Amino acid sequence: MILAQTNDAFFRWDWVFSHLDDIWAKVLEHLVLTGIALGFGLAISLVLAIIGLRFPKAYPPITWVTGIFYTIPSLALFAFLVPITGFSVLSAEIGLVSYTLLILIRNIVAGIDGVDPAVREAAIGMGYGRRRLFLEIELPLAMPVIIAGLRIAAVTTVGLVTITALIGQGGVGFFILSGLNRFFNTEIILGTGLSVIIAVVLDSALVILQWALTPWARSRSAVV
Amino acid sequence: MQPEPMIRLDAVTKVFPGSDTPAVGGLSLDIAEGEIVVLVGPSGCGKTTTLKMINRLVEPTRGTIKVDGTDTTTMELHVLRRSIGYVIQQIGLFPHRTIADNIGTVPRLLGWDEAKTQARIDELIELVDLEPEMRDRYPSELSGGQRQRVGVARALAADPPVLLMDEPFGAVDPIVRSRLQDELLDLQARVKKTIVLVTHDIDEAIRIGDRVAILNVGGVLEQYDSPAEILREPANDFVIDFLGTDRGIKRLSLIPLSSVELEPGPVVGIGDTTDDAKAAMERYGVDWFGLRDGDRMLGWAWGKDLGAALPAGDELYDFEVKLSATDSMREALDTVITSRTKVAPMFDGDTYLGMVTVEQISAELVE
Repeated sequence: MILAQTNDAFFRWDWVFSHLDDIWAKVLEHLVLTGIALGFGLAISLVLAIIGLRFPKAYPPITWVTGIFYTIPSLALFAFLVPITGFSVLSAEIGLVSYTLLILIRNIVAGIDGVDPAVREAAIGMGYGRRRLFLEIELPLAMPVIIAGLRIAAVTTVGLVTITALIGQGGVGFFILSGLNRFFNTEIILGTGLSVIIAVVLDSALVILQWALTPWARSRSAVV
Repeated sequence: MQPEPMIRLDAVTKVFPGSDTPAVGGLSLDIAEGEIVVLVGPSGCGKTTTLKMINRLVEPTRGTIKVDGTDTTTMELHVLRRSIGYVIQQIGLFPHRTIADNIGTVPRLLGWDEAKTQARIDELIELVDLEPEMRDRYPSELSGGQRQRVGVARALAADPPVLLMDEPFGAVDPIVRSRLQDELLDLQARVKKTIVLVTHDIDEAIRIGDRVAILNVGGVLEQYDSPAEILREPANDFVIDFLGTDRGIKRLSLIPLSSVELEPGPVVGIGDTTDDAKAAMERYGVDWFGLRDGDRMLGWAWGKDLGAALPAGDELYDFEVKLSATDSMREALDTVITSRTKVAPMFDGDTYLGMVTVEQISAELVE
């Protein structure tokens, strides 16, 4: 504690304790930005994946376009968006959402392609229509693969959110940017550490979600 | 007048896109209510295609299929399919649903109320002889044989009049397969469905079919008759070839011993004399005789060991294999060729009924 009170300390706990309200607000902002990106990303990906599954010829162009989004450097994308949509949440989300699409679409399609053909044939043979087959059979069975994609997308997005600090958003990325500008280690370490913690917590939450959503996969090894 | 068949295929042809030759060419077949018809043939004979045209998983190119008098093309797909039970080789149980929910699939698709569905699930679990504690298990926790039973229970859930089975026992080992075949026959005796079953295994076809349709490549119907008739009088060389060289022995398995007139055999009673025993042996041209006490068979002895009196009970050999009326001529043949006395004695409990000789078995095949 003595070290922390000197101005040139490597990490100043006193600064952290005197800014708890700000920190909490930025953590919340980070979660909201991530949540919106994953929510919209998942919704758009589901629609595009369904199109790709229904019309196999549409699938390569879909992965091609989303693949290009994925390869654009994030810094360049945000810089490009500012003149159009300003220093806004919208700018941030356009970027964040487009980075989730490729991973999510691929995993949804892979998950549904991976459903045992015998299961599908049995379902159709018993009188399942296309919609119920998708919602009640294919989607639940694809869940482990979809959630695997969601975990990658979530961890990536949490990291990317920090970049949006450049366009006035950023969640805990605000501290990193501010620390870099002021040569203030405490903020840089705080922002980085919080970003990592958020990523780990979110990833763990998704693991728990998957466990909760796939009770059948749990019992697999229970009985010989 | 012939009753309307449950399923009627009328000049049904299927040509798959991109193929010049039909997978099934102009096949006509009547399947009566309550019978098991087995479609059997080599690969490429269109047996599975034929089966799938009945529930329109494959749409016929030409021809009509009627189920219970209704042209299937006039029915909504989901209505048709929910009214027909369907069992496939890999079974296709839903891995994410419990056994109970798997069985309740079609009732729920049909919108039955939950209490009725649950009651039906319980009924079916009992019908296919699964333990009640299987109810809440997932398919991955079951053995192959158990999964197969769940597949059958699921197909029977909404009590459909027709059951389609595509190589239903193909994925289980031979011992389990034979047990499941027995179970299916036992089940059929209770539920009396119209069953169409596809297999490539002629022995399975003979064992479970009331009638067997032997198909050749391109869905050509070579013969359609009861297994006994097909074995007795194969229609052509293709059928002979397909039945294999042990056709005679296959036929024997279809002849129950209850239909055979038994020989009394070289058997004497305990009150008889050694001369009676010699006469009996001479009559049958053998060197052994059986000794009975009333209805009860005490055993047998060699003629060369016959002394001044008939042997006592503890000097006799036992008949090692004792057949009963539910056994077939096939088992009789097996007994005849593996026993020292070269006959197959038949019993009802302890009561001696008579014996089957190799001449009788041979006569049955030659006639």
